[in-house]
Amino acid sequence: MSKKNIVLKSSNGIIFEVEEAVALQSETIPYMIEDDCANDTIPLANVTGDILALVIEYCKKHVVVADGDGGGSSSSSQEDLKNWDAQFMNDLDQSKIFNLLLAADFLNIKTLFDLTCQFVADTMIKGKSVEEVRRTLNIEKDYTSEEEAKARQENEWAFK
Amino acid sequence: MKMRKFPAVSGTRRNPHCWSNLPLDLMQMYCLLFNPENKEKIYKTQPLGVDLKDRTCVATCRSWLLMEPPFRGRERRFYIIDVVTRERINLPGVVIESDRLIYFLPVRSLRSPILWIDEKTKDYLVIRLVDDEALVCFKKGDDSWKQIPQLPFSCIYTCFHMVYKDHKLYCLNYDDLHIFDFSGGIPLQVSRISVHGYVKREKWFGIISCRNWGMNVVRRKNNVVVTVGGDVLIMASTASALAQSPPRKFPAVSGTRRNPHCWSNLPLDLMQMVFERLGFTDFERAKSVCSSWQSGSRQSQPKNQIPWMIIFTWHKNYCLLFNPEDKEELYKTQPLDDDGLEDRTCVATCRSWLLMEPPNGGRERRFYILDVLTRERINLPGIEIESDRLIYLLPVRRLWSPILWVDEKTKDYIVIGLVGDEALVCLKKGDDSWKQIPQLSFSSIYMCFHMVYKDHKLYCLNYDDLHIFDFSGDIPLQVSKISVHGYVKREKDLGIMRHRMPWGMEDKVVRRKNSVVVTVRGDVLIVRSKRRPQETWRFRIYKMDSSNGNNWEEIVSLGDEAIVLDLGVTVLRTWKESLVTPYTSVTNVMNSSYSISIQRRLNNHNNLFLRPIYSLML
Repeated sequence: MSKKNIVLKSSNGIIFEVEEAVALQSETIPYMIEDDCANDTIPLANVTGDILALVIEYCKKHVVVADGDGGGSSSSSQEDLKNWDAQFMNDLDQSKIFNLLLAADFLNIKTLFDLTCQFVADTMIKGKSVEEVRRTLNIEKDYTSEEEAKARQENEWAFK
Repeated sequence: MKMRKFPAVSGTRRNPHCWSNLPLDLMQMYCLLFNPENKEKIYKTQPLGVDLKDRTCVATCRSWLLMEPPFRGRERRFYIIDVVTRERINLPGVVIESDRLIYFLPVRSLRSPILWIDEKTKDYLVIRLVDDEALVCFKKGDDSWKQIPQLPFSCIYTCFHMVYKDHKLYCLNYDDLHIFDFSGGIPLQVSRISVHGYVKREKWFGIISCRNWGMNVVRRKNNVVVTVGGDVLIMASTASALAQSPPRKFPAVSGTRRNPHCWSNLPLDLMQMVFERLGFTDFERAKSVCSSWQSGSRQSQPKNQIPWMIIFTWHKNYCLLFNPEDKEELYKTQPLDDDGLEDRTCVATCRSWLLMEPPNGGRERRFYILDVLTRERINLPGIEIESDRLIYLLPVRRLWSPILWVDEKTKDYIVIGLVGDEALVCLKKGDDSWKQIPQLSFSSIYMCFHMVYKDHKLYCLNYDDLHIFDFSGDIPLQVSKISVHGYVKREKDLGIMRHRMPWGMEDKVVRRKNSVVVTVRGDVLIVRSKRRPQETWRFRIYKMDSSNGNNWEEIVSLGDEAIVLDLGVTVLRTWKESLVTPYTSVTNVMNSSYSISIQRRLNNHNNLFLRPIYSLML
């Protein structure tokens, strides 16, 4: 049986052709195929080309491992995959991570979504003071100082 | 089942029931009509034309259907057809221009299509979204589809449900409900109402292109509904109903319109998914980062897998909080009480809430409850009771086996305790005085030495029986009485625990020979201490087997749970093995000496001014 390819089109018109098994890690794409809202190309109006490239890179990596030894991948390859995931996330800048999170959610790729959420929680928020979080994520403080004082008062103990 | 509205065809007569148009039988090229008034009968329409079979019906208005062109082939035009009279009107193809996209091909697919036909004049109007770029409409008499520039992009962007009624168009998106008036030549925006907080984001966009596939309507989370009386409703289906449904499409958030990455604008549901991966402290801090994070945090809960511990200090008016995850870190609460905590005794806890007993001497006779995190304090009335056997001349200052329960969300609370071993008293939020509970017979509380309250059930253990009461209604009801004969060992010291703080707790918990424990999964255990703890502390654990006449069955492993003995509950043992290992080696049976293990650990850490550790914040 020849492998079927699926053509994905990013919001800025970049075309990606991937094997069906790679694309089907997304739970949204089968619906789009089913819905026939695409003829041959599946347009992904929410995902730009650079982000889609990352998603496909992730899916390709994970699909290979998934059917490696007939499903039961060895623990060392699991370990490799974990390291690969960590490296994959580490290489991304914040804007990419942000958009990757949105894309993983939209495309409904559970493992990628979990990976991204966990990465955001662990590296951007965990163990940081409020000020550090704001600085790291470039969030503007939109409280007045009174409001902030009030918000803080409720959880004063959590601030050091 | 496709339940499309299909009111009477019979002229002006009132038709209280809606007919339904049964699935188009595509091959046969006719429809079936079902009138709920006519139980058994189904009507068949005349043949509706050979090209019905590759078309999809995307909207209806009474007996009229709006038919979409097939996905492939040359035919690109929509038509409308009356299934009763077989009158058919062909519509021109749609070619639109958009600022952002140019549609080279005629548009074949509709989003949120709307069909409206005047019953008398047969004036018709078709409205639809082309992707989420443009709203186009076609009126009787027009020769081509018109884009409606009056409808600003922001109103139709991510619009997922439109309703047309009485010449008004209602467009719902995640932020606002926009209402447009179509009665004049040019559509006018009448109002824009924020729906923030009433509409929940969903992954699957929920735009319905094909109504024919009825499930999509059901799957859509948020709907706008206009009532007969002209009221506007938003119907948001609950999560549980949708739990089984497949993923939904999600609106475009990246793209060019919004700040390409702004963490304070992270969609609410994604923000919650991130927050749920934070521990308690990080979660509390994240709340203060900005206002959108604060509102996002209201709907999520931190992943608090490891119970925290509250540590009382001596001669200080604050507590220390210890999170085993945070290794060395101890958090200090705000000053808790102007009167000082030291002449008060904490006798029960529920998460971060403490039940404080009045001091031994002095005038003060009232209990209060206190949240160590928010410092919220609720004073409780004094306890005055009458008993058949004793008259309490003085207000009661002591409760035995006290129980505190506070609802996490509503802050409803309940305090239960024994006065002597005579009477069980209880105070609920809203009560102005303590109530004796006569439904709880004397025999069930007599000699009761341990009580646990969980999921609105009270478990009272004495040497003969375990009594279970249901407190979910207004009046507590006895649910069951299970003999514990042979599983509970008598001991000299009755084992009622009172002073948990600031002294004596360590001994008391340890000394109590028999305890009742309710697990995370709702199983009931009896935990019997085999002998006084020294280096090893041995237990026997019996589990109530409700499938087998409520017999007790000894178990040797708690699996992934650990018992927190002084609270009478279990927790899922998800914390790192290394933390517990030195202590779980205590016995091969017990993973459960958690409270003790942490206590020792802490004492090693900090033997300075700590009084016996008291409780866990679950």
